[in-house]
Amino acid sequence: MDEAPITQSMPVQDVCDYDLLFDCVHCGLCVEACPTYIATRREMDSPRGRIYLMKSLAEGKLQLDDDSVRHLDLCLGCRGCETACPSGVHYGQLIEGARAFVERNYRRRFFDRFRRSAVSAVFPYPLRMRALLAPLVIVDRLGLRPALRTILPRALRDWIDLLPRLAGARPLAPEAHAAPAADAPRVVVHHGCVAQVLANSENLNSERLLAAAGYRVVHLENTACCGALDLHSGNAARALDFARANVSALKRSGADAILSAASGCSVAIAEYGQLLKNEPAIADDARAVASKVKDLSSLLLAAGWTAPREFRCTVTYHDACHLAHGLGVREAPRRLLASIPGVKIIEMVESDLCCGSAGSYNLTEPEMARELGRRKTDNIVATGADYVVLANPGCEFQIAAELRRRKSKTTAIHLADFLALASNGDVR
Amino acid sequence: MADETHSSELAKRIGPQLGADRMRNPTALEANAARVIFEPASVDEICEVVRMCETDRITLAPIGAARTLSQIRRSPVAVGISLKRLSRIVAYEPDDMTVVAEAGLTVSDFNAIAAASRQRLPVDPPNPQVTTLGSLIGASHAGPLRLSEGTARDLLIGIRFVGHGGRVIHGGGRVVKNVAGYDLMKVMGGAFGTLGIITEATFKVRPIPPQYRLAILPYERAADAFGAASALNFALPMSHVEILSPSLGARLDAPNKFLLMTGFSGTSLEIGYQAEKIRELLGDAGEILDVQPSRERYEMLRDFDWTAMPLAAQIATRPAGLERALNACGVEFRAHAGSGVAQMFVGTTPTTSDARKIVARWREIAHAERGHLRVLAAADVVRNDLEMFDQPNEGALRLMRRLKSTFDPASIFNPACFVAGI
Amino acid sequence: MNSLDPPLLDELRAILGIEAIVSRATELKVYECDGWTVEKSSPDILLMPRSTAELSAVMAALDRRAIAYVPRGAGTGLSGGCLPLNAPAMICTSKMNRIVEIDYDNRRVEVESGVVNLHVTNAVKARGYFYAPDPSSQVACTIGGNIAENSGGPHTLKYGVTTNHVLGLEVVLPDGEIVELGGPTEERCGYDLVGAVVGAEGTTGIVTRATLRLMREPENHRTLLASFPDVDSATRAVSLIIASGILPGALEMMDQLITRAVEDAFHVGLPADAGAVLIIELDGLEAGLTASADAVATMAQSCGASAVKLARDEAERALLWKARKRAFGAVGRLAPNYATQDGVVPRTCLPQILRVISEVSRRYDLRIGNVFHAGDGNLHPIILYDERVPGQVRRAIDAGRDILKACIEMGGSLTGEHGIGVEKIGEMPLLFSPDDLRVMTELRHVFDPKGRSNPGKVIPEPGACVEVAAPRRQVPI
Repeated sequence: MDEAPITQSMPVQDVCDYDLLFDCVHCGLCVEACPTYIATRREMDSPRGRIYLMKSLAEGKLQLDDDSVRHLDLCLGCRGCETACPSGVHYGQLIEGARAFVERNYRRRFFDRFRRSAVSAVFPYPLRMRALLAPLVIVDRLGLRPALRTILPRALRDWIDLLPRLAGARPLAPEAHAAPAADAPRVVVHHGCVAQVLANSENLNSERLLAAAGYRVVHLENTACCGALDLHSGNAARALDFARANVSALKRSGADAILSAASGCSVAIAEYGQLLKNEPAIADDARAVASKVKDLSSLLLAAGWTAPREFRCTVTYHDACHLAHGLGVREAPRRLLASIPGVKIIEMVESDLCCGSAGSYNLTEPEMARELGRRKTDNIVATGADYVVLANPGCEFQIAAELRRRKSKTTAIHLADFLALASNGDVR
Repeated sequence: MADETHSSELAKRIGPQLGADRMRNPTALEANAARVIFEPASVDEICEVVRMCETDRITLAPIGAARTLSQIRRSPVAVGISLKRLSRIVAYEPDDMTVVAEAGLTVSDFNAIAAASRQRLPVDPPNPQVTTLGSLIGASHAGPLRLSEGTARDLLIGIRFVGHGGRVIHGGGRVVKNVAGYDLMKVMGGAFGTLGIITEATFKVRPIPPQYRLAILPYERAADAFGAASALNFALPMSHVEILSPSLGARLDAPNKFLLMTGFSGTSLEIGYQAEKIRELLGDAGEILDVQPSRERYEMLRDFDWTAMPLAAQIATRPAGLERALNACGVEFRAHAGSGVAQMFVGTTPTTSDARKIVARWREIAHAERGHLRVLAAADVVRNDLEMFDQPNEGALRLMRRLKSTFDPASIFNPACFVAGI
Repeated sequence: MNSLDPPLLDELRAILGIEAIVSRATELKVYECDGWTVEKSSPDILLMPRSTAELSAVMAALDRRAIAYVPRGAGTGLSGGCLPLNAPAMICTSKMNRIVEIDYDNRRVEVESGVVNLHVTNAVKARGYFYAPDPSSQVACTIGGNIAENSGGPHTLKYGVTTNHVLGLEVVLPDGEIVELGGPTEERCGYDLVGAVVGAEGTTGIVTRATLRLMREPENHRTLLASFPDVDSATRAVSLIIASGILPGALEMMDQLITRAVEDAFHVGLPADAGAVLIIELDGLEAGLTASADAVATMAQSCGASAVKLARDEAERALLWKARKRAFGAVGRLAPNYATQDGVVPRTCLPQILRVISEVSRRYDLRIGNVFHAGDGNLHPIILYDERVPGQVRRAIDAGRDILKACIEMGGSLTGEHGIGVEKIGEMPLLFSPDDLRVMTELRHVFDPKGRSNPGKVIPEPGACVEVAAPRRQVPI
């Protein structure tokens, strides 16, 4: 019998960690867990398809072109596929590598480039963001946002729609709490970048709840962006800078537990160990910091949090991608909600399917984001719940915008805010 | 008739070649089916006869399928092939739960042997002591147990048949799960011998349940009987859920009412639980029989003979539409309630034109329930004017004609008594 | 794009719109293989119709130009069934994914062929029903693909395979004609063409809709996990259970290699030191289950089981099944590549074939794990290899072929549920005579007289010698 020629696989381009690609056995069990595949039902918009593209690029069987970039861009980075994958493929690492490869080797069209650099220049810096939003705060105070919308071009209008009403968005004063026990665990709430501008109540309510539950809440001297935005958009260099800054700050804080009201940031911090593994000076610290990442609901449950009063309402819970797929936290928030007297949970269909927010994805890929947002709100509205509770500000903006569009009576609310509301009758 | 001379010609030729004992005259039961009966002692002999018949365009059919059709066929085939001498078990391995057997073996004979291993081929055609495996497959016989055990279609995993050109063809195999190659078992199943002569079959067998009981419940109205059947079928994994119309019930010495006859099986714990549940659901009317009477009544239920009826048919509808359809037909029946299949009949011979009208009306009713109807028996006098099989839709029929002409290019296998004259 | 002339493209665009057509090389690249990754070939064009009418129009257009096509569902097949071979066009049913009608009264569901297997059960489980065939890929694979391959799954021991659950089909023939086969009734009218189409691996046209049977959920389950010192004792237990007359809903075995991989991946508490484990699921009336479970446990222990654990609740049961169904993928943690086989032997030959497999493993110096449907005798030896190591792909293929030959010698079959595809086409003559294959080809031509539908699959081309099976285009991913 003739020996058929077998070509050897070999990497010729540094697309991503080549060896990691071999975890994928091409079984396809991930495809239905992928929001973009569900939307387009095309293989190249599935995790398996994207991995295939990466492998083909790495082996020089494909050249980077508009099409390959398009399908890599369209990935939300939600990691739903990691939950579905039986082989333990580190998809998140693969796509981050591939995105950096794209940014190094591909020149985007002007509008796309502009859009991405705008996000990149503003979002990680709260001061810039506040400055940029100042005019809109005035517009909102005057109640003129609807008027403004009508004169904006479509792309900008979609962006503006995502923003919560800014009129009342003044910083909340930190509150005094009873002094924690001397041996109380120290916990840091990382305030993030966008979150502290647009959703600071979530940070502050997280801190209040933790303090009330007996934790010693420690504040960071300076908070840098967690770097997730950069990692997800292929700007690895700046992501590393942010990560280094955060590792030092977090280490100095002496925190026993670290969390963020934005689950995407939590996961980014939880992966610092992996991210900085090749930097001997900081690798150990990064690993130590990463191992301390927790989530609000688990911490509250561990401390025996109980609701101070009854709060009658129906609630459906949306699994923020990075909380469910990244940290594997699904049950804790539900248990917490269920423990509140009067709260009735109605599960939605596809609760762990991405809402389309995905960091800045809804700004750079508005069409797919809208489609997924519609699908998500269909499922939310079908429950008829009063609140959709979620643990990530990005999801909140995305879902709230879509709920507003369809004039739904359901309110999107962050878990921390909901717990505050249920406890005090007010988000404040 | 040409066939007549042909069959005697063939008889003359086969005698010297294969031995005179291979040919005989049909019995009274077979007279409608074939002019002369050929009893081969080997598959090779079948191949040879098939080749001869193809050359001379002589029609032939396995006698099982031919006899099943004998109450509706207009003329007998020239040669009926009886597999009486091909009735051995080729391989039966109880631990594998499979059996390979020649097609002439009867269902009863096999089940008598399998019983020693507490196993059975769980099919219950009427009169299994005369139903060969070949005719079970070819004429798609089934009975009450189809609800829980499926039919021969679900149990058949391998087949061997003599096709055109006298070629021996096999499909499937001896293992219970097998997707290698095309599913020739399905193609040959229910084909009434029109595509070739089945010579060997492999079946899955199943364990015999430790116990079986029969509950008989009388109802004044058909609708109530069907309602009860459906409630039972929802609540419990019944072995069978049959409903008899009053005159059939009377034959079982039961009250002159609609009878729900439902079987259940399992360990004594399971039997007790189910009996209780049935009482709970259906109240105290009727009775749950003891072991021996259960068996006897079940066999009576299974063995109703439709072929003696002046006009009988089998209707198949969606299960929930069966009661409606039978009610509209207004006839006596035995219904496999959970399966949406029933046999129905009229007790007196209608006139030719009435028979035609009756069948046309039944068929219309079946179609309204997205079903179809096949005539099982028709008295000689009305037979010629009846369309026995329902007509498949045009697209499917075109494929069926192509299948027939591909598998039987000489058109010798039991021609002109299947759907649309195939 | 050689065979596709501009007028045809215009016509296809007019039928489908550009959104539903993929024709650029980069995008087509990802369609060059399914779960069988040893061979690859891209289609020239991918067509994604949304309805039967669109699909029929597309096929008629291809037929007028004598262009062959390959159908594809989710691409989770394991035998290369949707590998384009001399078929420039690929028609994907993934956009045809509506559940058309659920009819509880009649226990039927009508679905489009792109509906995902598990979505059928998900749609009806609240009412206490399920769709029985449950292939391990059920989270992603489509009903159309299941029909093409006649898919099975763990629970087919008791409930049968796809063909036992399909009552009616809407099929588009290769010339674009739409035909209805079978229907919602249990009896058929005329030949059983539904039975001929199920398992034909897409060579008889493309199924667009199916009427499926729904089953009632059994009253309850008992799911047992039994650990054995070795594979032999586990197979003895299988025989004993079957001979006792208890028919489990499923009876699954994993050997040590697989058990460890699965445990590493899912942490379900499988005993890492066991030589083999059995997952035994009993279902039926609550009244009888405890006694049956006790009997099974006793039988397992009498065969040497060191531990028999009963899943305490639905969550534990679900976890066991998750682990079992994702065992294939978990193997990805052991080696960069694997080839899985799907041979079947009569159940009584299990000990023999497992000895053959370990002998093959030694001979080719490749690790082989076993996870399989013990109750059916349906093996899934998983041959681990690394395509980057010279010679390993070849050895993996040869090892697989040796195992299949042994299966056939024991009276078994090449494939229990994965299909012949291109993978095992070379071995078909070991199982079927030239006459058998000729008749199967004739049957295929009844549906596809011009050989346009999924050419190069299932039946080897006439003239191909028995021992061919030389891999055609072995290019690892």
